[in-house]
Amino acid sequence: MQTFHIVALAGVLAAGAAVPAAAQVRLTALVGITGSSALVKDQVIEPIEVKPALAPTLFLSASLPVAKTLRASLDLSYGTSTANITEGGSDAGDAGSLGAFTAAASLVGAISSRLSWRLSLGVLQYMPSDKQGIFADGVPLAALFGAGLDYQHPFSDRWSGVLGIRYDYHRFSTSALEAAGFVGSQQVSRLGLALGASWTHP
Amino acid sequence: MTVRRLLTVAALSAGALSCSDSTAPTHTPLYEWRLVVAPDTLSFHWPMSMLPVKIWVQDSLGMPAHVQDAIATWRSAFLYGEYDAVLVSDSLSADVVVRVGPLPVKAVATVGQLHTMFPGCEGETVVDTAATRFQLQLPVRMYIHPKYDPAQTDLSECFAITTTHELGHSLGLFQHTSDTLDIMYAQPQATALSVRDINTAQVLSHWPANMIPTR
Repeated sequence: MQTFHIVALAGVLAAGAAVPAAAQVRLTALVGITGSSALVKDQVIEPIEVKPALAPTLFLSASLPVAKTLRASLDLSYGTSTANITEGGSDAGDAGSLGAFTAAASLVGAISSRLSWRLSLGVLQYMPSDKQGIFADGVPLAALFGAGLDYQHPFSDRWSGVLGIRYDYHRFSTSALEAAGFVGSQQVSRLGLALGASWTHP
Repeated sequence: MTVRRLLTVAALSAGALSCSDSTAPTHTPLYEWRLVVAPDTLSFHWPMSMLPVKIWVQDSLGMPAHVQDAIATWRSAFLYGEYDAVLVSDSLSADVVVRVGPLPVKAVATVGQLHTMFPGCEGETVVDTAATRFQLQLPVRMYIHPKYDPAQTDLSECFAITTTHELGHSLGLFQHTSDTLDIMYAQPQATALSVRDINTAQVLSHWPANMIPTR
């Protein structure tokens, strides 16, 4: 329900700020890497952490202008990497590969002609390859808050190169962790750096 | 809507999402699992490099299915892949050998024997530390056998419980407990792992082992 409220809020924000704008659709595709903080912190004898390795990530977005310096954007991303397990700081195997899909509604504002900020609200879904251990009973959808910066370098009227930084925050827990006695959820921050291009309908 | 207002909404949303981190469980209560062979206390768990543990099962009285279920039961006790096992067709390369029948008499005098007796069937797991106390001789041998004619009596629950119990021994749970709710109770009745079984299995799998598996 919390997730629904946040997505609904993002929709209302975008709709409330909307002005007639049928043109200037901007499509952006970026490829980069995303790093994450630990999904699980435990201690049996020594501290145990489950943390995704650096994940190759594809970022896609489509935006429309909603004000003079403001765009509403629908953002999607997908990245996958290994969920590494460390014990006492040493490698202790892995929990298989872990995909992370996000869908978010964003507002994008201009800082200067080439630099823009973005704020996002959306959802994140982890997709583990191994349905065992902490992922035995699946992973619930998580609400997501994101922020980012884009630097655009125009190549033509329509095409620009884009360097993007993406940060997002969500909370992680699973049914298996709750059944094992974990209370609450783990704060997870992710940071991505990506390079790509955008195309703008004139 | 101004940028300032948007930033305020975003900050409030972030604040609503954030609070303290999760709290990990204490992994208690648990029970003593180590094998005490005075003056030593022996602890064993399968090294990560040997996972999945290779188990050969005699194809009799539906035992392969019972062992598969027992593997799944114990696998579910772990969060970080500490245990996994597969059935193999070659008993010579197996880490654990499960036979349907009583423990051979000649083995009793030379090895430690973990015996359990559930009404209807019995089980034994041989923990062979004959070479040195700090080496576990592979394969670990398990014996499950009916006390009554399986054709006359439904022993499937008995086999399921006893197999899970004996597989627990092969994980390193070398002692019996005094709580009837534990699968590792000497005469087990529980049809599922208790919290104590799960906690103990988790702790033993991270406890420094002083028994090394050897062939």
